[in-house]
Amino acid sequence: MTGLHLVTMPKWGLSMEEGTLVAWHRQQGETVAAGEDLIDVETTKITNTIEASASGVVRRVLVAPGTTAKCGTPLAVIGPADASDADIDRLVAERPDIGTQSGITSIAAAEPSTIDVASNHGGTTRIRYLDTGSGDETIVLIHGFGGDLESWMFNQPAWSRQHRVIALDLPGHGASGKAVGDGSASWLATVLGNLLDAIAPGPVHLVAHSFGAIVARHVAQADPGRVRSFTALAPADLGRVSQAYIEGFLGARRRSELMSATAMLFADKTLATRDMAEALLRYKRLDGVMPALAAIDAANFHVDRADSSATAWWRGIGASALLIRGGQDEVVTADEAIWSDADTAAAGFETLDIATAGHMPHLEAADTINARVAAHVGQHSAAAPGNAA
Amino acid sequence: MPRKTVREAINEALVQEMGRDPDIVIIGEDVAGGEGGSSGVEDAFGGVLGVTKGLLPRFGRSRVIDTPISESAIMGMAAGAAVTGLRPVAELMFADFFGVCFDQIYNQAAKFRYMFGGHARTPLVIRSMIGAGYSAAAQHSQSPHSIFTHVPGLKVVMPSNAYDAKGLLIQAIRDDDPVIFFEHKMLYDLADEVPSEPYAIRFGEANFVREGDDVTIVAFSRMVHIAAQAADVLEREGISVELIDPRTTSPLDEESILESVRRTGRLVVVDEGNPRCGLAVDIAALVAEHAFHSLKAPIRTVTAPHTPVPFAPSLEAAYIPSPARVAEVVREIMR
Repeated sequence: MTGLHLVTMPKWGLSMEEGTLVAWHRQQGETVAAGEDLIDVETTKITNTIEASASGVVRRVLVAPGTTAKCGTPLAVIGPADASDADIDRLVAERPDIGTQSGITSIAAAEPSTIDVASNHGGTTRIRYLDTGSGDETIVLIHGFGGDLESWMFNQPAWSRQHRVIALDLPGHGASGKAVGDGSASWLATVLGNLLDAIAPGPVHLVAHSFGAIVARHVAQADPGRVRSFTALAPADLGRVSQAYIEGFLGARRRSELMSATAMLFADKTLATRDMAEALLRYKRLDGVMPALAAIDAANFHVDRADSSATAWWRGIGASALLIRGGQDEVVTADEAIWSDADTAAAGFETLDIATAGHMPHLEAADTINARVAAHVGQHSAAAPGNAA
Repeated sequence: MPRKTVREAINEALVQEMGRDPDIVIIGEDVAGGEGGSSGVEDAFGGVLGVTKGLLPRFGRSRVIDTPISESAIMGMAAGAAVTGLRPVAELMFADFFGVCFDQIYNQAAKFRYMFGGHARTPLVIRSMIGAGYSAAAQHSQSPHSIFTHVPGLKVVMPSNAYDAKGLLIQAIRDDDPVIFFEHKMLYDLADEVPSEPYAIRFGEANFVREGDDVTIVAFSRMVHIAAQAADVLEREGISVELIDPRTTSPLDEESILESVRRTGRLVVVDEGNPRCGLAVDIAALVAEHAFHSLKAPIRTVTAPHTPVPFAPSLEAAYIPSPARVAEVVREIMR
């Protein structure tokens, strides 16, 4: 046991094949603690930071800034100051267990599946989902308006280390079927419920973002026994949805126009890249997408204030719910009354307020979210004290 | 996402649209192959370069129609079928052959909407091959897209990659006006990521292939790749290139071109057509007229010379705009 850790280029999302090193936060010979920022990596979609996977000295920096490397390429070796150079050379040459030591697990090899599930009108709807990890607990990830399962690319690998994690494309989104009925959250929730009956019938932990949180709430309301815990990030029904964002997103025909809208998603505007906008433009061109998005918009986002039924539901849900928001969210302006409730402990649910994030805290503050949601799921797992069946 | 060649992307667009709409028919020479011959082989060709391969077994002879060698018959039949309600996708094997069927395109299909008081629709697509590079001499290597762009009533599409080819062809088939769809014969094997689902790319929306600050290059079809190679070289010399692929020449995304030149102050247009009265000078005139005061240097064009396409491979190579020529022209206006 040499105590050496190899840091490799992670694979964030299905389409990532390579990443470009932007900057090192530690130089060779410097000390780093596990969880501290180590390397900034830019992909065609987004720039993110690789954290140190272990504490120690950065014994070897293998790739210079500006270099583009394939996923799985060794980038650095962390280890004790007294480890021998020969051991380091051997580790780099062997490249053991690529993809696990940088904190990224089986998602690198995972391929999404599709399944036809019953929809509301007697027909079927094709749903794409990515099923990773294994364990007694199952976490289901539900993206927001215009998103897809790759919205969770920085989160799913982390949670997959201990749990089964299923990320899905909602109807009308990603590579799922584009029929959305009347566009209501309850229509989508019915399809989602049928999907869960088919692939994850037991109680699950729902983690949902923005519009996805409305759908998730309807799933929970339809069958409370299905939900072991509920995490909502920037839920669209506990605040006011920016019409400027929705209109900008739906109306944009050119990449530059779309980037004006996607910039609203982030506190750090550089995260709204041209490649992200191009991918969204390509999504919007698919047959059936614009009618689906228009139906969802009409059915869900034209309310002036927080949905009172949502508020009431939250006030009654108790400690199994976790509410998360970014302090610089320009897309959903949170209903302060709910957050005041939380402050006074009048509500049973827990909250997490991330001042530095915008509407996408799971991308902008992935590490904080990953740790907090993992803890929340742990507290409400079947094995947790007081939760014995 | 699956990678597909331009050939596969066009074939997939045809298959998906024909499956969706039974009014879509394919008309052309050897689009299946074997009809009327003695070989007994069905779907022997699938088009001269295999683009329509597999359509005949799937959709039958009534929808995949091999014609005699008569371009005027193909275009007359297709234009007439379009006004009666079918949605023909006719093939003009080589664009060079337009001379024998231009009345049907230029004077008939393009004019129906206007001659019949707006009551006639002509949902006709003409697929046709352009471009030099195969050493196929002066009658099978030309790029006459400027001639079609000149004609009111025609829409003209010039895809440069597989993703655009599929989305633009689907848009062309769904369009209610005659659309000329030019496929460059050197691009058929080029592959990129193409969604399996159907999608449509609206006409008149340019693709910013790369963004840059120093010079705007506008290029079409195969020339997008020539310009991109030049941009790679120039980038290493510290010159930042914005490369615009308008995707359609009619309608033309004038707004994107002007917006870009107003930012960079320099314009180079790269086109494989001949230089006189062509697409390159058309775009040069657009910018001179509407963005003159933003220009920091003269507008430049890089085109084929005013000659027929040479047969000799060495001369043909000199005829086609090269990355080196594009890069040199950019260096000249950066001095």
